[in-house]
Amino acid sequence: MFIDTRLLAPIATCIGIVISIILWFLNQHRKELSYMVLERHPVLNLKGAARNQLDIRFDGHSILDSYLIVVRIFNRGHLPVNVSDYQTAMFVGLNPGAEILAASVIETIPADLEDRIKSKRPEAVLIEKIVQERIFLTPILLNPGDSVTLQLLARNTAGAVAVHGHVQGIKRITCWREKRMWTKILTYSGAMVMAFAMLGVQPSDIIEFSLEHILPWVLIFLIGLVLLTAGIYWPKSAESMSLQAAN
Amino acid sequence: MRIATRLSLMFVGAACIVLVIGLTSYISVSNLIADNQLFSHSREVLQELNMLLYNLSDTVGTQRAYMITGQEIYLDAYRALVASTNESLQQIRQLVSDNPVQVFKVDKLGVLVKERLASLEATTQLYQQKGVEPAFYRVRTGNSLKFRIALHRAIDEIKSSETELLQKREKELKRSASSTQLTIIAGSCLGLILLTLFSYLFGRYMLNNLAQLIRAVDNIKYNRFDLSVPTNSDDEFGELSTAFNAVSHRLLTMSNELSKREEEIVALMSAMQSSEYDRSKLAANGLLGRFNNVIQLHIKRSAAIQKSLADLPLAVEVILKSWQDMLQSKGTEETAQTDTKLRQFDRS
Repeated sequence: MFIDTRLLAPIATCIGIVISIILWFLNQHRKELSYMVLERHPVLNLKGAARNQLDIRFDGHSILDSYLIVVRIFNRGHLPVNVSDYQTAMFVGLNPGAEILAASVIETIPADLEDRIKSKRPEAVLIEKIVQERIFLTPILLNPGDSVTLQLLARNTAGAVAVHGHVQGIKRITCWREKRMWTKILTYSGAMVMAFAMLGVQPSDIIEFSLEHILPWVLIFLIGLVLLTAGIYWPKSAESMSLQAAN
Repeated sequence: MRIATRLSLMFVGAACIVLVIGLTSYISVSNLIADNQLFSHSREVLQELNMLLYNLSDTVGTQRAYMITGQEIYLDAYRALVASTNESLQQIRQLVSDNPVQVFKVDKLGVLVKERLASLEATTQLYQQKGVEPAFYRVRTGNSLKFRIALHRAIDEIKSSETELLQKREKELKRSASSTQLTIIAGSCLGLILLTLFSYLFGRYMLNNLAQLIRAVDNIKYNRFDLSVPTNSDDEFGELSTAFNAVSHRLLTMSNELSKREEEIVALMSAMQSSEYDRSKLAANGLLGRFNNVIQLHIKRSAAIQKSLADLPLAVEVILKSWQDMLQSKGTEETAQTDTKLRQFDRS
């Protein structure tokens, strides 16, 4: 294939710019704390008259209208969140008026996160205190990828959860949503490649059944089809699947 | 779908892709070769036509040289060139045999060539039989130029048709070449994309499942037995997750049971401790009661003794009085009986 040598310099410049942008993006040292609600469902999902005849109690309280909520808080940035970064205690909050009946840590990454803070302060636990609709967490070092998963049993709530905290370097603790930009790119590029292949094949070749001239376009069409299919059916992350199940 | 089945499918898929790419490349390359053969064929025809023209010109030239010099060497060369010209014509006829139009034109050319060669032969024989002058005269008055023009025209006609074909075939060849190139590039890209996608997705699937299991096992180490692994696949990982969840559930049950037993034991021990205390207290109370009873008994006895002791002087006085009365009334014998009584009284 003939390439005009005059095009080489602009092509090389464009490649250089793209690589620089990618490297810049990869070297971004951002600090980011996020949370996601893995589970949020009523303790009792019974409808009809039977509901009025049933009573479930937890520690003396009726929990017929209670919600079971599982929240994961994790560091998804590139920098650790140090203990000194917490200007106020981080807390998981429900809607005002809600009451948290029970809360426990069901999972941590690393698994010995609680033990690590206990080695420094034996009396320390991850859940510092529970005040009405808020669970205050002990400030802990969260390295990139570390997480704490809490399970709450609450009543007088519809399950709305948010995590708040004043942490240095973090504007707000955001609710995590999987970005599926790549899948969109794959889908659209696949569709474009397919259209290009369909336009590329000459009608006379089809009429004459000139296989040698049709085949390359068939292969290009297949490339587009593969990209489109991959974009549409790209598997969601495990977290995203959990979120989908929760919502 | 089980992992072994997935792997088998992946292998079959990869083999199919390689097969399809290989087949398409083969078809493209075969067509390219065929087009190239046609292109070469046209070039060969043109080359042979040139060769024919050259041979003819050379034949005429050699024949003239023979007639001018009279040397036998030119005659031999002339004969050889005649044979070559016939051979070229035969070759051209063979080459264009697949094209009826060209065959017709070549036949026309053949007639002209034969006529030309026959004319040359006639002149040569005239030279050999009658000498230079009649032969030269024949050359001067003959149709040499007319033949030449007719031959050139005929050859040009064939050439122009063949050139047209050549151009068409060249175009076709270029198209075939670019199609082959595109087929190979597209096939390779398709294979690469599919391979990358399969590898990435399969690797990601395996690693995600393993990471989940490792995370769950890690948490179990720290007594978090209520963490379950999703079992939404029906492959080996699904089975492993189900088994893992069953084990963790069993561990949770056992742990709860153990905690319950521990609580029971603690309660029992405390109950035992409290019951021991109660029993001791009860025993102590019993002992104390018994002691009190004994004390009371002794107090009562002491009171009786005190009373008896208090009554003793009065009794002694009564006895002494009665003794005095008896002494007075019965005498000395009865005094001994009275002593005996007194002794008995003392004893009691």
